[in-house]
Amino acid sequence: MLDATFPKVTVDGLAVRLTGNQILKDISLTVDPHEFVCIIGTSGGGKTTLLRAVAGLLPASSGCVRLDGEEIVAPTPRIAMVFQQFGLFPWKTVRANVEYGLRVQRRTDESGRVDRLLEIMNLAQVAGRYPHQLSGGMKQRVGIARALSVEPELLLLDEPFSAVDAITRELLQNEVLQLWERNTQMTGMLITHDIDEAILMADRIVVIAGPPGQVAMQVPVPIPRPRTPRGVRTHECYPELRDQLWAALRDRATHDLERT
Amino acid sequence: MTAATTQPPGTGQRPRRFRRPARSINTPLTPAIRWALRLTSVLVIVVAWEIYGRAINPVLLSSPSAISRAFVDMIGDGTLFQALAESLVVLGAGSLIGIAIGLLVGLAAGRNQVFGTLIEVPLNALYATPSVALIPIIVVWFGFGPTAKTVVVILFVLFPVLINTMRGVQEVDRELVEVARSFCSGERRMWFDLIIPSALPYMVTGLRLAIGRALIGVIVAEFFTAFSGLGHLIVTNANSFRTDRTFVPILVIAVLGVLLTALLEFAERRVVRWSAKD
Repeated sequence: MLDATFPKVTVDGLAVRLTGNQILKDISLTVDPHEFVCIIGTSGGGKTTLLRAVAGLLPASSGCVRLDGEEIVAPTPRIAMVFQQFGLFPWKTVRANVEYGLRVQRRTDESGRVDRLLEIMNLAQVAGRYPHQLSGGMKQRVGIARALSVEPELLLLDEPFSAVDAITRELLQNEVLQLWERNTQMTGMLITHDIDEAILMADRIVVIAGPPGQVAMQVPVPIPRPRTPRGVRTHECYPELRDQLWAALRDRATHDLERT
Repeated sequence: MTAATTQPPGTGQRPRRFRRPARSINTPLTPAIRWALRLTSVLVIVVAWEIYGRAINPVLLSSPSAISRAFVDMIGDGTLFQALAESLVVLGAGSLIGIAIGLLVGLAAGRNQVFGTLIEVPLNALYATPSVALIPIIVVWFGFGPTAKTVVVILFVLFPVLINTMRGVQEVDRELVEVARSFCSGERRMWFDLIIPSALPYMVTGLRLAIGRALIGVIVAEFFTAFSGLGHLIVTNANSFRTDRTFVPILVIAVLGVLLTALLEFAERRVVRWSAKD
């Protein structure tokens, strides 16, 4: 049995260099079991690099990432990722795309999980279609269903709603929020540059400033779940939280603007 | 052709101040009109050929009617079918071997950077050399029999397939490779889920180029080498000034080319269904 306070994810002094550029510098943070952490920062600040390092897709140049205390050196089936540009296979149908993770991990779908996910994500009617026949919002539903199908302990979302229009984005945020609040097993990390999205979804928000990426601030979001977009916006601590985050991001952004 | 420009005299009409806009070049033609135009062009060519061909020495041009008589004759005495069979066997065997080698080497060279770089210079040198230039050497090595012809076809087919396959593998979407890695895909699964499907359109393009070149290869090889096949039929008839009988295998080759290309276009549409328009 794991101690309830033992972190699920530990990022310990992580630094990443890519082709001579320092992308991340000495990042340390932890994510508790079933915690949803949003990582927010200006673009080019190394957020996506951090997520890719957690996924085991990038080697650390120093420090490490641990999952339940075990160092992550390569991708593991315990982690699944949702991609900004969806990352769907254009030659596979919606159903085949959702089944993809189970198939490459040589797992069978005995409990009919794929069917259930297609139903939950409103994809049952389009299961036989190809990705190019879907709208951006539908494509990302496929991406999310694919990640959930492998029942990951840790779900990583890399700006999952940034490539869809504003209305679809709000719908998708709501869907993921509800999925999250019903599921008691997963831990989540979501990358975003949208302050409202971070406040809506997160238990805790980590501000990454860079380059090179460093943790600039961490704030808990004390808004009780289940949440709704309206309930969050009218909560008493919403304005202050928003100002606080905006100030942190604005300082960084103006700093970058002045430098260039 | 229209009467719009030739106004009958004395009608007293004032000239129009503005020209009516011409029918737009971009307006798509209806399928019926397209087919009518295609048929018209063929008919015009055949009729003109017939008229002109009858007027001059038959050794120079011959005519469609004479060619069709020769066609019936050559079917009757079996020369056409024999030559066709000989050419098709070489075409089939050479294409299959060339395509197989091209696909395998192309896949390996696209995925393995060391191997790809290793074969780069000799590959480009051989591809840049007109393959026809190598035929005399091939005859020295393999004699005048069907083996030499097959080797020529292999050589003609190999490069377009190999180079296109290699490029297709190299152009695999990096993000999808990342997706596959994040789901812990093994290398073998990566080939079937990702590399082969994304290289497939390139491979089919390579095949389409290869088919055209294979036809050229077999005919040129038959000019130089074997005493068999459609190419040989063309040379012998031309040498004895039987122009009508020379055109028969030429037209058979033309039909063969059209059929094979159409077949590959059909296959292409089936294979890349996912990228079809919405």
